[in-house]
Amino acid sequence: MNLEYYLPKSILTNIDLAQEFPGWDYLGFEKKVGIIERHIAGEGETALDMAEKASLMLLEKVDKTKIDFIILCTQSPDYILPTSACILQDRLNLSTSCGALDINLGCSGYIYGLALAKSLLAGRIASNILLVVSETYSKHIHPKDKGNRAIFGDAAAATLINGESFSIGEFVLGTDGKGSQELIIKNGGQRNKPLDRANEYEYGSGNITSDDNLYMNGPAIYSFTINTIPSLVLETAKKNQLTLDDIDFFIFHQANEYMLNYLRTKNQIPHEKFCIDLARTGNTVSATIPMALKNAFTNKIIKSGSKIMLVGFGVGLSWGATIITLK
Amino acid sequence: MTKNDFLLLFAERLQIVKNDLTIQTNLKSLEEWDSWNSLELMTLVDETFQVTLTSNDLQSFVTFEDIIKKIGEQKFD
Repeated sequence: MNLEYYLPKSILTNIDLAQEFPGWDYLGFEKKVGIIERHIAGEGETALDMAEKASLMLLEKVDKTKIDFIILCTQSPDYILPTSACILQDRLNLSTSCGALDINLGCSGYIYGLALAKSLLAGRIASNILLVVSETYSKHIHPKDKGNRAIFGDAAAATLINGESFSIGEFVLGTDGKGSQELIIKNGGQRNKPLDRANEYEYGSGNITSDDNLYMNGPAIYSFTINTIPSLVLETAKKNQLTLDDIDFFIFHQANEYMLNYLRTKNQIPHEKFCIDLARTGNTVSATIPMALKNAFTNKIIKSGSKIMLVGFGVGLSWGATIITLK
Repeated sequence: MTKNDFLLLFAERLQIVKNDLTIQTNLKSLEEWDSWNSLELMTLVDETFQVTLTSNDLQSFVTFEDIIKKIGEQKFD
């Protein structure tokens, strides 16, 4: 499979976090949320650096002269402008006849990347697309925000989309901007300039953040998810003229195990067909789906001919799903 | 399901000592009431009554009775 991922070297364990936050019931967290540790990007290591590393791993296996388009999904660009994908083209020494663009999406990003890649192929605009997802939420999270530090990890994944590894089926996509404030970094864009020291405030269960940092309203995101995703799963199967029984494996965005288990129950998906793969990496935003896909392939859970439903959802609010079939 | 059955189910899921809980208990006074357990409540209400609570609902709840009102009194025996 033409898919590789990169994890930064530094590992933050629950025990590390428990030392920073005395009294935190990390064993209860592990049991409920399913995350034991996560990788954290180095201080000078950006999402673009990680995108480059994942891409270089992939380019060891594929002919880079064929690549004619780069899609980079990140919400942690090096600069406001230029687009990180343009810099990635240069760093990878890819042809200057490549198209390149960034997409700013989070946990739905891989699905949208696949949808764009499929469109570019179908429109004969490109024939070998480098789809990279790379995220460093750790850099956005306030150091005292235990809740988000425990959930999110950093990672990058690079996939070559050209129809050789898998075919891409029909998509169902959706957006509800009414929920935009529920998962947000308020400062740093043109609406609100970044402050040297934005006021800290407490939210959730004793977490501290500020408007310069990531804020996530966990219950609001959970409410959106359990309300929206079960029907998304059914619609996606229907649009692909399949039943859920026809699908060999389900890879949902690996948000947290608690949420995943309930979503699995709501759609009555058997345990053995449902991916839970976040214990060692946490929620890596747009990278969870390709990483889980690669791991499932490596571990022979999926094989040639497998039909896999991929489901992404999160910040935006934004969601999407499709079914791929492995070649 | 009676209101009391639901109260017991709630206590079980949130691992609250049942003796500590009545319909008038202030949720925020419960040691176990945290953001993960608020998700547990959302799950319980969704699977039992097919009602999806919002984060605004959660913020507005003071007592267990408020949860019952939101679900709808008619849904209880």
